[in-house]
Amino acid sequence: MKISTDWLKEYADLSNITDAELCSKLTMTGTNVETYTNTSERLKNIVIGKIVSIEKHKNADNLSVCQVNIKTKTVQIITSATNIKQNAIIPVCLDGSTTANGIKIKKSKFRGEISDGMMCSLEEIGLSKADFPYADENGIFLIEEPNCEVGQTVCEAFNLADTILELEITSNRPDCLSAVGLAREVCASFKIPFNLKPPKNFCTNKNESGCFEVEVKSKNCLRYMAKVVENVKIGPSPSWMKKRLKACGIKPINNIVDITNYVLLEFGVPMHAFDLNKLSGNKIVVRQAQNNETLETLMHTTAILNENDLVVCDAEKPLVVAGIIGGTDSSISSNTSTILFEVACFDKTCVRKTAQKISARTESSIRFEKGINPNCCEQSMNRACELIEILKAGSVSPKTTDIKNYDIATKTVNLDENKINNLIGFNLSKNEMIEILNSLDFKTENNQIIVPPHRIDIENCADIAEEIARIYGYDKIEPAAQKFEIEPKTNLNWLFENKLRQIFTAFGCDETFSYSFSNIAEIEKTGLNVETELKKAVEIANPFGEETRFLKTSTIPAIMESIAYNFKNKQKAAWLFEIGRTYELTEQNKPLEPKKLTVGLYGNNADFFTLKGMIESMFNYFKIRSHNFKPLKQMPFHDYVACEILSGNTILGKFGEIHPDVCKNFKLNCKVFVAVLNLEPIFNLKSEVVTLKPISKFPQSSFDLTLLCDENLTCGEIEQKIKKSVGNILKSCEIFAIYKNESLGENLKSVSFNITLQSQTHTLEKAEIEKTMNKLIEDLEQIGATLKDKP
Amino acid sequence: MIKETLNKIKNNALNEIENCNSTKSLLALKTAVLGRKSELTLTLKQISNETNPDAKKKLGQLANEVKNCLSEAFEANLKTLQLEEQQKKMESEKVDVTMPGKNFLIGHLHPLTQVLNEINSIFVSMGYSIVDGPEIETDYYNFEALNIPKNHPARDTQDTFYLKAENLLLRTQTSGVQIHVMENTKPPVRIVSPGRVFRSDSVDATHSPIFHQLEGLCVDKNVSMANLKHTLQTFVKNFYGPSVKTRFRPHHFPFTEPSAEMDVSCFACEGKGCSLCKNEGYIEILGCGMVHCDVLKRCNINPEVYTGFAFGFGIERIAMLRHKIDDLRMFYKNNLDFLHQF
Repeated sequence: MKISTDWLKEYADLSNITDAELCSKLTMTGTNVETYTNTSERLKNIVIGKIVSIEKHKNADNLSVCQVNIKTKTVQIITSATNIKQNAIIPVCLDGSTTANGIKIKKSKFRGEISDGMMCSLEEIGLSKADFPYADENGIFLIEEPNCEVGQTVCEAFNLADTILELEITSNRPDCLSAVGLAREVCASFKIPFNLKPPKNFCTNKNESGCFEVEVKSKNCLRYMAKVVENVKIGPSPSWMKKRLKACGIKPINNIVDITNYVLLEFGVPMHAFDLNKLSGNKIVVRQAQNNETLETLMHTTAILNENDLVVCDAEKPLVVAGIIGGTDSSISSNTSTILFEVACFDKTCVRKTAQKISARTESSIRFEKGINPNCCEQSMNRACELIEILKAGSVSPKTTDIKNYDIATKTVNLDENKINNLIGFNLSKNEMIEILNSLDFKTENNQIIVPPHRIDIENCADIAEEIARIYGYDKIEPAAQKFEIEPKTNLNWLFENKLRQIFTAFGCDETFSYSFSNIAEIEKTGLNVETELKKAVEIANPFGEETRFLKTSTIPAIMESIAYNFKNKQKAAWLFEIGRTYELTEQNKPLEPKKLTVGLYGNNADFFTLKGMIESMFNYFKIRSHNFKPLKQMPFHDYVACEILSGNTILGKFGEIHPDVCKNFKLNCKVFVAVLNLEPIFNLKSEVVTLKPISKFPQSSFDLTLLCDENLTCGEIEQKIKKSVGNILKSCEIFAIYKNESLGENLKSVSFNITLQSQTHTLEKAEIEKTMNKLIEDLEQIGATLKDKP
Repeated sequence: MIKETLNKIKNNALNEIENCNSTKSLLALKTAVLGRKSELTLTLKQISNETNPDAKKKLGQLANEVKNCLSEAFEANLKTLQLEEQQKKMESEKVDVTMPGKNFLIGHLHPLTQVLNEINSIFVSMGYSIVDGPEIETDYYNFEALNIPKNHPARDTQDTFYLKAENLLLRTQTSGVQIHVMENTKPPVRIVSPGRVFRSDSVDATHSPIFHQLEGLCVDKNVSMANLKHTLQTFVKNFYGPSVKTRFRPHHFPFTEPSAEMDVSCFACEGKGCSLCKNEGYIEILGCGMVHCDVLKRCNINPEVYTGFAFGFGIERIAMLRHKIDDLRMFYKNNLDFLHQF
């Protein structure tokens, strides 16, 4: 919403208030001023000049060199304009000025001749042909105004000085989409008188002649007021009106159209004017449109309507999409002699839906869709008629047609000062509250607050509290500490996730964030089975393009994208991890959003065991010991370098090298390793409280064992055997070398363990150690692992 | 005769000790001079063969003197030489301290995580609990329960992703968590809920289909707007530093009444006006207000007994302002050159 201070001053004495004070106050009472522009500041250095002489430019046929008198001196201006004459009075932009359309003017040379500035067209000083019909729109504005003096600024000469505010009006305050509404806010905020003279019911034409009928056939039309104006003389509006309209961003057209726009901006209630002679059957019918009914709108579009849209029609056809946009058929033209003013109230939802459908957001529709109280219609009708009178634009008929189709009682709210004081946390007296409410046009009677009709947003005590608090000033509310007993509820999941983040950054991985979406191309690229993934995927009904069709069922595509992106950027290595959700719907349509920890590695000597080491260390940190690793053959992993992590039947996650085909799809010619861990089961397995095992006082004893076995015997199997054979005196058992060589024999490998024994109860004697060792060697032989170098 | 020999041994040895320049040669000399096969030892044997007790006593004293003198000389010189040698060794180990250290790679937490953790920790220290909410929501929790019925204009400004499954959508705001929490918890309630939200926006420097919000809610007896101001000021002073100023402007949200937006004094120019704050001196960072009585009623909380406040803000916005990041997309590209800066 734009408004000029020129207009606000009609209702409020702003003489002691600067623009900056005005804007800051409005912002702090709830009407946020986004920007404000002072026209005289903007158009400074644009002055009235007189062309003294015109000569052809020596080096350019199409340029003229003019000497221009601007009273204090004579300046030289180079121009390509052809409509200039000697002694013409023209506007001149001097060095350092900016035109109304934003062009910065500097002193410069044109083919060797200095130009001190630029002569302007109407548009360049923010005016139009509507202001000066005699002006040539395509050339320099040759001023014919008798009062215009050489040397004056254009602001002085054309009374352009004004400040235009651009305001953000919240959706609950459609009353502030008007000059009167904003002026009321200004007056309440500054505690100054609000001078609004309510317009009276006007009637200049004693005889009723214009005969017409109004019929309302839809409940979406809450009120319809109509009035005829005869002997209309179409012409331009006076400059004060045009100036205010333009300040609000509305283009002046003619006196009748301008009156409807002016009243809309003044009171915030939209209105419309029909050329009564163009109406068929002297009849207005407000009804729902028929399916596929069309209307040529004033925006030069064809609105295709249906039964959900409300239209205002004559006896035959739609004239207007109610509350949104007029049609060309019944519009005001220069020949119009009799008009019909409409001030109506239409259902906000109906207007909103239709406006959206036909993509027409008009000054009218934005006000209707936020809601207008039908009780506010009269003053707009009266004001329009008053303006007809002021502009001498016609004679107003006595008859007012007024069809009311609503029952809206005056709203009242109980004034409970304790409740208000408690809610806000200040301490105002009842009188202070009443004073603020009165300044906003609320009346009070015996503890009852009577809500003025334009305040459709006020329903309850909290709404009243807000009114009082915002005018009193939010900044004056003294912050108060709360007194309460803290009941700490630690979020263990949050702590767990943060610990995981710390652990994986400690491993050297960087944290990533990815989108939650997925699509078929990405699923295919990652080598996942499209059918399986889509079966469980959550599908978006209104995706924003193919990219956002599904929510992701796997985190692997996203980490692969991040890996590929950095690989493409020639990063030597990327070790990444992310904690995020996947999404599924159960068969009962219950959404599941399990959290996953996803790790992706390439470069920096990363291999399968780097990734496995991270996972084992993490499990070790959380004292998780019940897990085991089982080979996994599943896309997108390498057939022989991948595994699943299980604890009993629960899958804790999977990891491995990415299949070479998938790497190719992502244009990666390096090995990539990815892990996906399920956070919930891991969270459930971690132990919170450790019970201390006594630290043994007895010496430990360790020895190395190098075993020879079939290359398919897994380290896991050997380790299990060692653990079982040695029993509880085994302190640790670590592999320190694995060796494969033809010299060992075909399909054989050697595995070296360092084994440490320690007892909790006694010193291990040589004999006991030997006995243990011999048993171990025997047990290992059972699974085909023999001692390589027999002692 | 023996006396002369002893003096000779003493003088020669002292001379040689003086000329010794390494611990190794000194120790060899020591063995040669004081060892079992040394001239001194031989001389001592000769003295023991002396028959004259008087002469024997005198010679013995002299011999001991020589032995002690030499031992002391050896010890003293050994110490000096050891010190010298250690010094030389250390000199030879001299390092260029400007050479780079060994690289222990510590990964980087995403800037959004860093900002979120900091904010969460502040609220936890103020007695708030962190709760998580579902990203897939029903229309009721995301809109209806928050006073945004069907056809409410507020729905236009939050372009919503609806799901094919009936009545489900991707939450457009974290505010729905307020409802879940109030339905399940008897006041007093003090929670913050960070999380992911979705808008069907086209992707550009300032729009993203995904971003993060943090929702805060406090419901108790006698909670006032003055408490809300205090809580948020405390948070802001912890987050931005004690000198930051706050400003509360009236605003409108369907689920709070009264409502406000909170600005903080620009941390780039300290309120003087700059390009970051568009010469305002203040930057808008969050929306807040007193929980609307209809919202409380819907959660079976009696608004005559309990009042509450709520607030919410965008994490990306906070992070962008803090780190002067001008493109929202950077957060989701996962470019290492970006991540490694945090």
